[in-house]
Amino acid sequence: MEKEYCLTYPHAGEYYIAFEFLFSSLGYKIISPPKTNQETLNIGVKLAPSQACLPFKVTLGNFIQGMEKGANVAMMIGGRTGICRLAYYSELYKKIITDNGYKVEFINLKLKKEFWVSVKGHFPDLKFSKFINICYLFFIKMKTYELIKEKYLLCHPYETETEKGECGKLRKELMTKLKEANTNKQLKLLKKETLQKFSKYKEKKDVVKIALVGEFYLLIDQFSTLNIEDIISDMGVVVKTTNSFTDFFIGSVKFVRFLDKFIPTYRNKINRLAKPYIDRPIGGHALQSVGETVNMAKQNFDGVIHIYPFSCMPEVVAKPLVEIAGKNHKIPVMSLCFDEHTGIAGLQTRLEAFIDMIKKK
Amino acid sequence: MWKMAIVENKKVIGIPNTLNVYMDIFNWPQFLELLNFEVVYSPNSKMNIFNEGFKKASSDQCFPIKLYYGHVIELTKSKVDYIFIPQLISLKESTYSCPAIIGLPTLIKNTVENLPELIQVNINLNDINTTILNVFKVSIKLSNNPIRISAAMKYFITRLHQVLKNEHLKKKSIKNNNKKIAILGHKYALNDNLLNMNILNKIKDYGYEYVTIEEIEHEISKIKEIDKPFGYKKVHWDFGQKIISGADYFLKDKNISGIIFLTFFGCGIDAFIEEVFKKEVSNKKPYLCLTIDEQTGEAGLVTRIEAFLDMIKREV
Repeated sequence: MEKEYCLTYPHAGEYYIAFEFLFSSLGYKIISPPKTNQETLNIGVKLAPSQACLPFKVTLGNFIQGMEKGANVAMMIGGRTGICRLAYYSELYKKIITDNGYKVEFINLKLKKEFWVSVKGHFPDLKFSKFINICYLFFIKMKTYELIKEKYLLCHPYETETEKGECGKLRKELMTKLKEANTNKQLKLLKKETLQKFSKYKEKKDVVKIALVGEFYLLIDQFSTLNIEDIISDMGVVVKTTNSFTDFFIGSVKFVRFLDKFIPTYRNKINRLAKPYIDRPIGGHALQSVGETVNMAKQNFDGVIHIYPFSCMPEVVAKPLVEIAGKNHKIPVMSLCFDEHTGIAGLQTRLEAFIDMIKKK
Repeated sequence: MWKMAIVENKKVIGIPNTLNVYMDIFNWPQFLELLNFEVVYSPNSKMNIFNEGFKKASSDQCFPIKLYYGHVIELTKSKVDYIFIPQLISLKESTYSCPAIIGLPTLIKNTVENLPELIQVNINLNDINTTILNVFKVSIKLSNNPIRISAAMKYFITRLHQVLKNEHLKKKSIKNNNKKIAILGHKYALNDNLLNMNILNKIKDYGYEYVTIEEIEHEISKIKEIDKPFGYKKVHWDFGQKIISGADYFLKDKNISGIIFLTFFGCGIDAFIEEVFKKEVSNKKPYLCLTIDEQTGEAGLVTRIEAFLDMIKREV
C-alpha cells in the first residue's frame, strides 16, 4: 500500500490558504493545524529554549498541534543559509520534536531544486511541468492575498461616514473567493475585481500614514503581533507593511541577490538607502529595516513603527540604526518588542500615544 | 638602499579591551606597529567603564556589547588619534560570527559621539581574496610608506596562512590527571573577569581545578571533524561549533567531573547552541548553565555554584 503523506504547516497570517492549495495540488493530504491561538503559543513556550525567538515558538506550536492530528510530514519555510538563527530552525525543530516522541519528515519550501527533489521523492509520478504550473499558481495566489490585504489597509481609513465598514466586508468577501480561486483565469479575475472594487475609496488629505518595518515573520503574522495592523487601521491610519512572503521567496534566490547589486531593482534602492547606516547584510532583515525607514521617510510617510521579536539578534542591531535614520530623515520612529508576555492593553496605549503625537505635529 | 632617516611622528590607535579583543587571531597590534602606530588598550573592564557604555547602548543588547561601548567611550576620552574596530564577519570558512559582532563597527560609528576616526577592517574568511584586499586598503589608509605597508601585509598574509591551517590554536599544556571542571563559553566570557563575574577565580578559591574550552582548542581541531555532533548538523557559527565540539570532548573525557556553560542574557545564539547539547550533557554529568547580565546578583550566583560543586562532590 502506498504511504499516505499527511502534511502540516506553520501558520503565518492567512497564507495557509496558499500553502493548502500548493500541497493538496501536489498530492499531499492536508492536516490543518488550528489557527494560531494561546494554546499554540503555550506549547511552543514550553518546549523551545526560553530565549528562542517568538517566530520559532509559535511555529513549533503549530507543528506539534499538526502532528497531534496525525501529520507525518511538516513543511518548513526557509533553508539553511543566512547568519541569523533561522538557518538552524529546521535542525532545532527536528531535535525538539524527536526528543518529545514525535516522528516527522521535514520538507523545506523554497525556490530551489531541493524542494522539487523532496516532492518528487514522495510522488515519483509527478511531472515537472505540472509541478512548475502548481508552483506558479501558488505564487499568484499569495500575491493576490497580499494585494487584498494591502488594499484594505490603504482604503479602510479613507471610508466616508456612509461607507463605514464596507472595506471590512469587502475584504472578507474577497478572501472567501480567494479560497476557491485555483486556476490562472480565476485568480486573474479576482485580482481585477480587487483593484476595481477598492478603487472607489478616494485618498483623503489629512489621514496619517504609518509604515511597519522589522522582522519578517512579525510583519506577516497577525497573531504574533496581537493584530497590530488592524489596531492601527481602526484608528483611521493608513498602514503599509514593508515585507511579504513573496518578497522573502524572491529575495532568497542567489541570482536575484546578485542582480540586485547591479540593476536598479527595488531591493537595490533599499540597499543604497541603508548604506550610510549598514552596508552589508548582517542576518535576518536588519538591512531592510533600516533601508525601508529611509525609504518611507522619502515617500512622505508620517511615522515608522519597528517591530521585532525579543532576542532577535539582527533587529536588536537594527533598532538604534532605525532610530538614528529616522532622526536624520525627520520621521518619528517607535520600536516595539514582542514576546509571549506582550499584553494588548500596553500595546494599544503605546500606539495611541505615538499616533496622537504624529497627529499633533 | 634608501634609508629612513626621518623622525616619524607616531600616531596612537586605541583598541577596546573586551569582546573581540579576545577573538584576535591575527594579532592586530603587531600589524599596526609595523605600520608605525603606537597601540594602546583601554583599561581592564570595571563597573565604571560598563556604566558609561550602558547609558549609550540599546537596552536589548547583551552584556558584552554594552561593556564594549563603555570601552570605546573610555578610549574616546583618552584622546587617541584612531580607534580600531574590526568587522569580524567570518573567522572560519563556511561559518559566520554573530550578527551583533558583525554590526559592531556600524553601531559604534552611529551612536557614540566625538568618536576618533574609526579604523574598520573587514575580515571574512568565506572570501579570502576580498579579506586580503580589505586589509591592504586599511594599510594604505594608515601609512604612505611602501616599506612599512609591504612589511605589514607580509605579516598579515603569513599569519592568515597559519590561521587557515589552525596553527594559531593554543596547544594544551599537560598538567596533571586530576579531576577538573570544564568551562564552556565564548572567549570573552572566559577571559573578561567583569563579564564572568569573577566566577573562574571563585571556583579556584573553592579548591577546584578547571579547564576551559580555550585550552583544548588545538586538541579538538585535530580530531577528525565530527559531521553531526550530538546527532544534528553543525551550526553555522564558528564559536558555536567550538562550544558544541568542546561539550562533546568534555563529555567523553573521564577526568572531567562537571561542565559549566557561561552565557549572557540576550545571547540568542547561545540559547540555540545550548539546546543541541543540553539534554545529553545533563543526563551524563553534573551540568550548570549560568546566564549572566549586568543585574546578576553575586549571592544568587554563588548559591548556584555551591550547589553545583556539591553535586560534583557527591558524584565522586
